[in-house]
Amino acid sequence: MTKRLPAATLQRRRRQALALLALLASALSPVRAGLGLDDAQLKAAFIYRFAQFTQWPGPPPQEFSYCVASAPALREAMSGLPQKPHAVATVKVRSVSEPQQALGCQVLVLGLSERADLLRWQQALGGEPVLVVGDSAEAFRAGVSIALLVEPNGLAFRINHSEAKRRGLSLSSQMLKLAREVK
Amino acid sequence: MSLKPEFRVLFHGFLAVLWLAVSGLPAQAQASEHEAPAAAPVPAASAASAVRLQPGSDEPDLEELLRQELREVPREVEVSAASRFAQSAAQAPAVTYVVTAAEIQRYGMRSLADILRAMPGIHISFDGGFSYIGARGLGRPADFNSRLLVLLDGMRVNENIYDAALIDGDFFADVDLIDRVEYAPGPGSAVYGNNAFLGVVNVITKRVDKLRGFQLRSSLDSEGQKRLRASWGWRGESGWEGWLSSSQMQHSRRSLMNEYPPEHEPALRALKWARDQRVLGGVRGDGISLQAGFSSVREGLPYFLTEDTWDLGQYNSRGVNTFYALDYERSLGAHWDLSLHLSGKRVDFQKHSPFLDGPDTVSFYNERSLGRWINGDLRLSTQLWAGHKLMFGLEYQRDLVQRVSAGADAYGDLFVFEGGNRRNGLFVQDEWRLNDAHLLVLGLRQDRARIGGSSWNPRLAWIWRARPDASFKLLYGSAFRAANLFEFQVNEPRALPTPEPERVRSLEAAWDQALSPQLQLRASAFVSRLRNLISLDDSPQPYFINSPRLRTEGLELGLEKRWDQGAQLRASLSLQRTRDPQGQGLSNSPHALLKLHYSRPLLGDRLQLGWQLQATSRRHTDGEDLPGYVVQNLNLLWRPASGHELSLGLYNLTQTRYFDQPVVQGYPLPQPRRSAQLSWTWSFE
Repeated sequence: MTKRLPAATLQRRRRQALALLALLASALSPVRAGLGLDDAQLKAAFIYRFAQFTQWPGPPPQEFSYCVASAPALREAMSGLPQKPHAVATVKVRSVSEPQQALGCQVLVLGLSERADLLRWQQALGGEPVLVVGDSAEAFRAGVSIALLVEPNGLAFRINHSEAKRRGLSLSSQMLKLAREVK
Repeated sequence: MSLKPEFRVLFHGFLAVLWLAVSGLPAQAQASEHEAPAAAPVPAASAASAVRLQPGSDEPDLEELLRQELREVPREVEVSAASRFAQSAAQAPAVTYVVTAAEIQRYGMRSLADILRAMPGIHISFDGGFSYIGARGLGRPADFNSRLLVLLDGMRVNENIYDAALIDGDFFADVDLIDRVEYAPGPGSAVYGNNAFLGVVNVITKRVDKLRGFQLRSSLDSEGQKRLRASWGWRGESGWEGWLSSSQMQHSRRSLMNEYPPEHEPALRALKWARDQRVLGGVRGDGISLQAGFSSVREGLPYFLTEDTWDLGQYNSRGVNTFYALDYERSLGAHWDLSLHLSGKRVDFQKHSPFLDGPDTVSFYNERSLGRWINGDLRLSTQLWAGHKLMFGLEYQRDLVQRVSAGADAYGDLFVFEGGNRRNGLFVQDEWRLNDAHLLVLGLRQDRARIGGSSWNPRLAWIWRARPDASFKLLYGSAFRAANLFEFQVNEPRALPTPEPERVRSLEAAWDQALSPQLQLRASAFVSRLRNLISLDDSPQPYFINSPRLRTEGLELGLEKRWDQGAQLRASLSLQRTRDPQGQGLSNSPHALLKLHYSRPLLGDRLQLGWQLQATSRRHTDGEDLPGYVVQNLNLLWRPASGHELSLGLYNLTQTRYFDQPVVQGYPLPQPRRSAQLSWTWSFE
């Protein structure tokens, strides 16, 4: 059983393909989808939500501090966060450069990816009720309470629940339900 | 590299896409980059209106945020195929391509084979039942994907008879269960050992965040193929989770690959059917993961009982694969991480071919390959020394059963071949951060096998973050593949020597550059030298020999562009040339592959359009050349209401007639014409 191959008439097909591509890329009217956040703003919106879904021990503080280390773009985006997320007088977003400066923070965002640095920051906090958020797989292995993870199409997050509990923080079940991984 | 006409066409096509991508760049995107941050923390007006989060107002909740597409091309995507642990793609010692669940849905991909078709440099030949992977120009006859290591959540799934990677209906995970597929091209034996010859594919399954509650999906295609999947997932407060999924596929009266007289078609199609079933499930928590899977594929085909009449018999086959796996991960103190894996697998493939055993008696010739084996590995990582991330690993495979047999009804077994092998590997990798801009990755692995000898494979990678928007990788690595049981049993009974393990060494330079946060270009050039490639000789009763040296040179160009409105374009052009010392090329080795993926929302987020174009250049065969072709697929994904999803896929939209010839001394097989598939997914808790 043999079959004669048809003559290759692909030139036309290729032209069609390119024409279709041009049509798709240019002719369709733009439709805005999603929230229109850039990526740092999306990370900031996640961190804001994490804070909303977390309960700190004791009475609410007079001043709620988000502290950011080694993530200038994220710090910038977080400054655009709403001013009254936790029914407290003031909300501050601070850049911190030394672990000791993070002791008064409610949320500490670590834009670091070296184990030694991540450990140094967390050990300096001792058992303080600080929600430590990282943004790499290494940060999650190094024991941060919540680690964002970047995927080609969006963001997801992992939760280290036992570490959060050790710090006296209570995370809502909604957040645990939506996490990629809970340990 | 001299450019042939077809190269030129594809190259011009690629340039046209590049021009489109760059010219479509919104002025604001070009202008707003890398400006000094404003002193006062006031976000841009458009952003502010979107993030004016007042509790109880229209602020996005977590689920909405998780659904958000990134508007920029991320540079720090998490991958694990290159090093066996999760890390940023920018630091991985291999170029890694990723296809995500969102893209699988958006482009209507139906199987792992469809997903791999979307990967740069991969071309797939289909014989109606099995998809043969060719990567970077190498797709040899009688290679059942043994040169690509396929992993399921990091676990080896290549079986122990043909070293085959099954990527059709017999792959354990239904596409709906796949969270992402990573493909790291190039030799990977420095951490993976045998089979990571052309690259490593890691299929990562969804977790319960995406499989929560119940999900039902049913699909019907224009060829009459019906699919049904049901899954359930649950996660407790403690973080422990469990999930279970079951899929069925039925396809009766399948269309024929070749043309026959119309009066005989109904009888032939009545004998052509396929059915498959898959079950996958597991529990996870506290660093422990238990998974198990089952797949069964049955197929029936019409079979001519004589050379010159239309007397038909029924050929049928059944492949059953099972696995169970236990993984355990934990930290040992602050600086050490431990990871343990243990798995057991079984494969049983049976074929029954009818023949006339006398004037009116139809008997069956039965072939069976049965394999059972266990894998174990242990990895220990430490960052005790500043700037170094060290990983030590041990790996073990023991073949409990390797049995190939053939016989006929009433005659019993006419041929039985049994094997037994043990392989172990020992490897070390050091990720050495020289400073903020430079990273060196040094790796070495020794593999020893009772049959197949020993092999040393190094890895050397230099990763240079040249600028915030550009990085360079120089990668050197080697890989080997020892003759598998099938190759061994073809030669052994004829007193022919077992082929030596084949080897490849490869040097690759890769550059990626973000022209803007929304437009990223990448280019990689590679040179590979292949030695002792195990291939069939060209005698009437072929057996396996080691081929002369081959040299491959190639170039892979890619671009990714995103628009604010949510549209995305991905394009890749892969060029390669493989030559033996006489300057002869290989069969089934296309010089150029062009792949385009374009998707955009049409009505807000409710409706998504996905368009794929895959072009393959001319291929040599042992007979006539197979002409190049362009295939396009179009998919519409509609979310009419929460929990419901409808998807309409049109495959081979332009009715391209194209051919593959996966079998040596075979003939060109026409590939599927236009077809449509409609799917409905319902999720509820």
